[in-house]
Amino acid sequence: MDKALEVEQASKRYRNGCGVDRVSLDVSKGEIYGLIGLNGAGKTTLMKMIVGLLRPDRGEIRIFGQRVTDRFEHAIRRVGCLIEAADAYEYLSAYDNLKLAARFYPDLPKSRIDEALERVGLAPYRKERVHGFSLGMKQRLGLASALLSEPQLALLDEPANGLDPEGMAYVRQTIRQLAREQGIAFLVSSHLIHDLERIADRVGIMHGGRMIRQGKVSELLKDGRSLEQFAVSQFQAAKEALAYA
Amino acid sequence: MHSYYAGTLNEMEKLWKRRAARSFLALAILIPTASALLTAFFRGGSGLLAGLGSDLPMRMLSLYTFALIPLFLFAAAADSFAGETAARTLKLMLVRPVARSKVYASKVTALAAGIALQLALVWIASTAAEWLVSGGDAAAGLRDSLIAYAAAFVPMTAIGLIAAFAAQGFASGAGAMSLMLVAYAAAKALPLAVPQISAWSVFSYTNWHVLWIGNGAPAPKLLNAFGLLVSYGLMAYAAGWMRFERKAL
Repeated sequence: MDKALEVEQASKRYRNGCGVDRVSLDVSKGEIYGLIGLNGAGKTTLMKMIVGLLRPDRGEIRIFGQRVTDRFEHAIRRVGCLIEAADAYEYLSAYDNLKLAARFYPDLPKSRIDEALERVGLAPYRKERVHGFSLGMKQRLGLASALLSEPQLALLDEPANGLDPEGMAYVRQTIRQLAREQGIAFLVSSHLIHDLERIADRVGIMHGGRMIRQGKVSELLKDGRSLEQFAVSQFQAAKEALAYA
Repeated sequence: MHSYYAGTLNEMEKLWKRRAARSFLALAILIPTASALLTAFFRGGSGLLAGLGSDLPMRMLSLYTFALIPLFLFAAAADSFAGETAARTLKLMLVRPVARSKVYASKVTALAAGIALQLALVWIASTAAEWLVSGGDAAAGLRDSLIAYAAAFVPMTAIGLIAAFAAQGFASGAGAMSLMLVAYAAAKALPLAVPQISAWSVFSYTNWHVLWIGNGAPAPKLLNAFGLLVSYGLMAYAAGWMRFERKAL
């Protein structure tokens, strides 16, 4: 099984009419897939459907061949995610937050918690309550939590949110390294399109809940434009198409 | 099964690390002890305080099942469901390899464990305090009080399951707590205006344990009340589970 993630015609409609409309994508092992879109494009909704926080109205989602809706526990076992915001139990320490997550993986050694905190630079604060953490520290903790179980598929929604330049560089480097060396598949959404351009193998551009374009970064940018320029042109075209419709 | 066990450990740890829950547990020791000391202080007097000392475990049980355990349950359920939704921490467990049904079962199990722990602490503290302060035969009434405390677990669990269902309908922990308290007070007061309601209201059975003291109530009456409490509990569990399964985060 080469595909880590397969989304087929997934749809979700909220009461306000927004959501995701017949989106399909796939991510292979070791691939970094960037998700680009304006606010409300449906990126987070799509990610929530993939990890079972939202049930799709239609369509099918498979993780390593297992349907999320039918075999959730098996499907999600090899997934790590950071979705919407790096939320944590504020009354618990950084270590205890990860300990709660680690309990669901019986084969995970306890030392992995300290390794994860070390990796994101939170080891000196392991016993401190999250309540006193800055946004950047919470984001680092969220990343540690997402990568704690040594997942084979990682979903990161705005992973650089709240991070300083050093933190952003660290996130880029970590994603690239884990994808290349350990074959982890990444689905990463970000408004930092320059960052995505530097790390993503493929990107998907979403607008109004639909996937309006996807492909290899190298192929999409043949004419020398930056990914940001390309994405903005796609948004513009989608808006114009909607206006004419 | 492992994921249910892990979830239950997590829920208990979260409950334990909340200051409110630890305060409730501390009170479970302090209130019986203070009551026994007050009794000793006023021993020989007359009226209410003199009467406090007699059968302290049963008096404490009535106080706890009427007010303090329901209060604990509303606070814990509000925090575990509405509070976690508001703090956006509910998703932290739901994106792990554990089915929602097991997360819900874990949360409910933690509430039940909280009830059991409080009952155990109150029983131990009140029995020990009465024995130390009043002296006398330590074994006297022990069997009755033990049965009564065990019986009290049933209606308290039913109320806990109702709280777990109700708390999911609120957007904040504070809102859930306040409204559940008001609803509970109303449910307790309603039979005063409409006496027929007390026969089928689960909230009228918080003192169910008194039916078990001494020779106890006739078996059919006990069975009838037990059936009603279990039915309420099962309905509340099923409804709460369904609500939890459908929750969009």
